[in-house]
Amino acid sequence: MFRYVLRRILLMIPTIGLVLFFAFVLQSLSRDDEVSRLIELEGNQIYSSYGAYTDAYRLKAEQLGLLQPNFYFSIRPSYVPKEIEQWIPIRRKRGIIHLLKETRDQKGVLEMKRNLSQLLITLSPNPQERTLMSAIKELDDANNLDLLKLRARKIEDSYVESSSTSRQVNVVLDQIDALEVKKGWILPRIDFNGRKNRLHFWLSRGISSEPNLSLVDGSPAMDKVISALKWTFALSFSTLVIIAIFSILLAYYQVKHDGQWLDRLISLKLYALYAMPLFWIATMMVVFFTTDEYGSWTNIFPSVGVELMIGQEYSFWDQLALNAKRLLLPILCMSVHSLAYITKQTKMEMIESSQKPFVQAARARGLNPGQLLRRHIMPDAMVVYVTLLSGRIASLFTGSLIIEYIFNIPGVGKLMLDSMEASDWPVVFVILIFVSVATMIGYLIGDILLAKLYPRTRKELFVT
Amino acid sequence: MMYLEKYKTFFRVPRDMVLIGAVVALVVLVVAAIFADVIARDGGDFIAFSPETSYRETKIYQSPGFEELASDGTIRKHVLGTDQQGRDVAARLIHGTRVALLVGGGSTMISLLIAIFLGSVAGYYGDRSIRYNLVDLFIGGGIVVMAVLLLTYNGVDVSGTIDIANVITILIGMGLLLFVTIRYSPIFFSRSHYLPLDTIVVKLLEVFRAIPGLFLILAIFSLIEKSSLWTVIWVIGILRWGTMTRILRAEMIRLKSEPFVASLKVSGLPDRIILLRHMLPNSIGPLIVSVCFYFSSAILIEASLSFLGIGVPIDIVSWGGMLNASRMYIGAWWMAIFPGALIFATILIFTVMGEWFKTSLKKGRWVRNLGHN
Repeated sequence: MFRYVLRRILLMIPTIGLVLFFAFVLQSLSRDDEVSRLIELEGNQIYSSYGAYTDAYRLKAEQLGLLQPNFYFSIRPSYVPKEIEQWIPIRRKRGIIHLLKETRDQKGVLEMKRNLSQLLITLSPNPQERTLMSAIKELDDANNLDLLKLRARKIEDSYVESSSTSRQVNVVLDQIDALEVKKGWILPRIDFNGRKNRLHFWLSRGISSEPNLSLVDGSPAMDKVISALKWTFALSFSTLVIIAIFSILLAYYQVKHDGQWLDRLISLKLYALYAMPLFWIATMMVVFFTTDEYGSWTNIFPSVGVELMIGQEYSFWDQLALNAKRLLLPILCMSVHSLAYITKQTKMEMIESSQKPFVQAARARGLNPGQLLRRHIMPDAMVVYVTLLSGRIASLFTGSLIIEYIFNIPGVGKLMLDSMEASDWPVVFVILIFVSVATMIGYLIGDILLAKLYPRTRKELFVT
Repeated sequence: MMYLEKYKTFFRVPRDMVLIGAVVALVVLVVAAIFADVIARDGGDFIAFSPETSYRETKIYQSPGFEELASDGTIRKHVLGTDQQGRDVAARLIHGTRVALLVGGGSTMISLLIAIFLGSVAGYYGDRSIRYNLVDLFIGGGIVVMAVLLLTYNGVDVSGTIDIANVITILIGMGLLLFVTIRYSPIFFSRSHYLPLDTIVVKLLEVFRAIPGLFLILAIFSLIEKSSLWTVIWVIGILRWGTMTRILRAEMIRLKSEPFVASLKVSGLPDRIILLRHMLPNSIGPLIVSVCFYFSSAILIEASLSFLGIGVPIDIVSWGGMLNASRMYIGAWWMAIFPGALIFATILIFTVMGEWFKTSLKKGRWVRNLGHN
């Protein structure tokens, strides 16, 4: 048993690694500029000048580990220098890469951009230069050569003569004029970055700290996820308990009274419940049983939605107790749906194992049907029940996204949806990682439980 | 008494009759999907309302049977009522069939293709058929790593597409590297090992089993800025190959030990032919069963996504979206019942078909005529 558990845990480690890597790759595909959003959240003051803003931006980006390449080594086209990661903000970085691609002129483009940002810094404290400032900003935003030259010409025509910094502007404009489109073969270049990369930073800091701040309120994503997990766990755990008790009782009753009308009625209802989509059941419940729109007797459950008390003195348990009545309907919906499936499978397995030879032998020895069912058939058929329930353990932390959405419960699924809507993707990916790892641990617990109860399942370490 | 031979349902309908009913219902759905524009349009004979036009009179929504002046001048009935914007529910349901069946069919096809490739390769070749040496490892691994990096390197292209020129130069460079290493590599490098194809696929399956499906789909949709119907089909299709791959892999492992495969091998057929012409047609039974279940669950996922307001664009009618709207208008029971019932019925059709095929497979009729037995 110990060896089995050890092997099972060791096999889990590479899977967790792969999941983390997968989540990182997905995360790095996002094209949002998170730093500027975080700065806007944190700095309530409006930055006095462009230079101050850039400094704050660089500080924040460094803190988040964003001024680093993605991986331990990177492959870049040869015209992109290694130092490209140091350029901020991300918009400008992408613009530079685009310009480099067109011109293949590393020195010219970088020099021009450097002068341009210097110009922005010197111009910004000066209120008279607002028009020139915005024109230069537009110039900075241009990410292809045609647009760049067009905007440069516009500046040349109108602004330069009146400006006090015309010499500096002229330098930039000359540099832009010197840029030309160049075509030719691109060669890849491999740069080794060592440990200074985002993946390493991300993994070593852990998902709890700097690299993962919510873009909505700047708090660590992990805190948000954990407070949401409490609700999900409370909901799924009570569902699990209900399912575990009632499915076995129902299956027992059905097998004992197999073929009688009540059994067949239950079967039919279970089959229908199993095939009905969960969100339809929930919607119908909400429509018909939460108001007295359809007669006062249908107003059975309180109205939908969890109400959170605001304030430090309310702990999670207080909130839960205050909302206990409102959680009844979601728990009912979730358990009714899974109950149908587990009962049906358990019953089928019981009937199947009632035809096995050892049951025949027991019956020949003269056991009565009740004894037969309790002592011989049920222990044998419980393997399906335990397997299905252990599958539910894995979803303890996942819960049901749709139920949380319909009933407005502040669980993980709701958090995921809200974060998606606010394009708060650090939270989205922390949830993804957390939920996956929790699922894996759930499977582990389920497998161990199963292996303890039914040693014959120990060999199946791989999915087949 | 308790030990009955067969598992009986409440209504004792013959299995085949149930199947026929399901097939007929499916045909009706397909016809409705194809001819939706003819059946439900302004001034049509069957339903005289189009799904997008608001027919608003006094109240926001009207119950089934509400009569209204249609655009052709006659008074017509809203058979299933109207929704919160005064649009005809029946017409919207018929147009929603199209989305459901398209997403179901399209994404099932995509998962089927992935599953056939991965499952048959993992099951047939296993861990101990394909050899590689260190040179192959470096080159293959290099190409894979480069592809991943090219995709993740956020500076490749501003517009988000991959620079083809880059890829081509990298491939040429790798080719040269390959040539040089193979030509001049010492013998040490060419000592070969087994490529654990099966283990790789199983590991991949495990990773995808660990990540809860709906969460993964949502995370991917959070990256997509503007989604269309085709994005939904692709995302659902690409992420759900797991179960089918597992089934096909198990089936291939089972078939590999059958005598006909051994005889084909002895007669000198290449692996590729054995796999494609002989083993895949023999594993068609389990595949059809899982295609049926995939179809129903893809429709369910699409309905859930549009219920959450994600994926399918808001101007395309979908059943899930209609059901979601009903939560706001508790008085309008017809808005909750009809779309949900249609989703339920569609899922049931495919589930019944899948169950029928599954039972037939167990009994061994229906597959016996296929293949090499």
